[in-house]
Amino acid sequence: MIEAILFYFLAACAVVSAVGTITRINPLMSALWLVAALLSLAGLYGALAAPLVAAIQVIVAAGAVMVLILFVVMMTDRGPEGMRPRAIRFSKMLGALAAAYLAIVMIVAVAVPPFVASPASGGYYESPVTLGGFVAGKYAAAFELAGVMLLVAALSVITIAKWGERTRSDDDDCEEALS
Amino acid sequence: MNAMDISIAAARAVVIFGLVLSLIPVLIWMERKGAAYIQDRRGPNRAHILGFRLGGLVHMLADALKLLTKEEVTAAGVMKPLVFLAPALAFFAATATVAAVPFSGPISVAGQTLTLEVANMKAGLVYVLAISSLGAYALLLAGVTSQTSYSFLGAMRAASQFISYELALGMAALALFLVAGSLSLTDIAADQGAVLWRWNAFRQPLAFLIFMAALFAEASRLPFDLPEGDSEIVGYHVEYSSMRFAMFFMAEYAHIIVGSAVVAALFFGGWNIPFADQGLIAANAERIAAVAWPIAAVVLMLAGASIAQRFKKRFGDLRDYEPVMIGLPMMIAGVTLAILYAPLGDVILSTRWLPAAVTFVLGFTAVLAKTLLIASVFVWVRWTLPRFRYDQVMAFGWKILLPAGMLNLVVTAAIMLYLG
Repeated sequence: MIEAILFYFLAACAVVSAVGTITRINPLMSALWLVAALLSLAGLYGALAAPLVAAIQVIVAAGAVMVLILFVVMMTDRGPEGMRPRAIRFSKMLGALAAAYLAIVMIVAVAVPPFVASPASGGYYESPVTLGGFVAGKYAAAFELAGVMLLVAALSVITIAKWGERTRSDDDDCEEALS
Repeated sequence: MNAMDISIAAARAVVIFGLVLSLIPVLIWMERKGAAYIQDRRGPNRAHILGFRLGGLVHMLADALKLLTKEEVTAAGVMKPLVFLAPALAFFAATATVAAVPFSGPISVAGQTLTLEVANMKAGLVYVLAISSLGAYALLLAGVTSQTSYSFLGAMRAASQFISYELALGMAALALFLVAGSLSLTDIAADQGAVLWRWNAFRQPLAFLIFMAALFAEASRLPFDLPEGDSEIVGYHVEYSSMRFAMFFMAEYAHIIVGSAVVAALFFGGWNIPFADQGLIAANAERIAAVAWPIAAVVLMLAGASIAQRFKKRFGDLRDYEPVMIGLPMMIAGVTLAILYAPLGDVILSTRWLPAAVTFVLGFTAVLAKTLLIASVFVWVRWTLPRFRYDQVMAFGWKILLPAGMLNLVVTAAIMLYLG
């Protein structure tokens, strides 16, 4: 009973904050909503008797999204009030395509569940050994790929930020030449 | 889980949270007195209630009154919910970490084993790192939503500093995990045992230094207090006043207390007393109590007498009588203890729960003493070292602490592998 209430509450929090993430215009606000969504997910993991996964989720939420916020600030480079609405060309077309793709994936996933109910008893996901086995064994490739993706993202943001700096004005170039 | 378990858990949560809350004014008092003695001053000693000054502790009460009655100012055009959320989040992140800290060893009462932490989590260490890293969001929210350049600068500094030092903190903690083979703070403290050189501060000295340095940065204490930087930018809470500012202020001190308690559990054996392990204490509980009782009576009498004899007419008001008003009750308490020893001594010394009580009291005292000692190192460092420059903070975190932490981790892993 109490688990059901907890589940529906946390799930509702996750959905609401996920909607907040994609509807806010200010990128900083959507990043903060993303934190809320990730924290609700952490709560769900905790309710599923996997406190270690929940704690790691919080670390990821706190650390990685913090980096994201710094990226946002670096890219816009003008403080909170200078952040403009984001606009991408063909954004609606791209969005429709991505939504269609996601819908197909979700329909397939619901029709053919790839995950069977785990045979684990209580405490199985509490053990760091289990989790380490997954991350360094079965899912090592996916884990490393995610790491590489984050590195590429970091490098591209630094490139974009530096590129914006170079084209801003000539005064900066003089300072650079002097230093 | 029955009603009994739930009520015990709730009582533990309330008591331990209340303990942290009541240690905050003590630490602020330690800070002010420590600052004063390092700078060759007397520190706070004026405020008094009916002549009781308690060495300046009454100033904390005056502070609380002042902060509560001040005007709360909210700048126009800010996002109100976020402005309210930031101090609450700061306080939550600073105090919630304490749930994983053991405040005494496991004690057995009436065939049941009681543990003295809010939640004995298998993932305690990860939980501590996770919750404390949430604290950065409070600083970020406060700084960004205040819409001031100074607080924004403070928030940016806080965010980058936390990200940088979190890694070093995690590296140092991972080495402890390798040594103890468990992520639970209780298990790590129990693994160190009562032998002094088995404590992690001696087994893992490099991890200890890295952890302390990173903890200073996470608590944004003086060598790393760039998010506040009183003398350059007032920092992330420049727009906050009254109790909302006080929440940030209390969160900072709560962070130090909880951080010290975590260090005590991770590196100084938690509840363990050097060379006197839990079994030994429980077996000799009766002897310990029988000796401690008369000693307590004598110490109370002597201390009361030495305080009371400082009575002198200096101020010409109630403050003159403070030594007598404190010293006399202490002497009376000591005499009462000594008199009660004859009729009550045998009854109390032969009760069933005496071993549990003695282990608990000694373990709790050890944790508290270690926590306050480590917290006093925070005070000492704050009034000794100047602030780092921003580039020095980044270089220290990324070029020294992180590589040293990695090296420590690899060497520890190799040694653990070699030892099997």
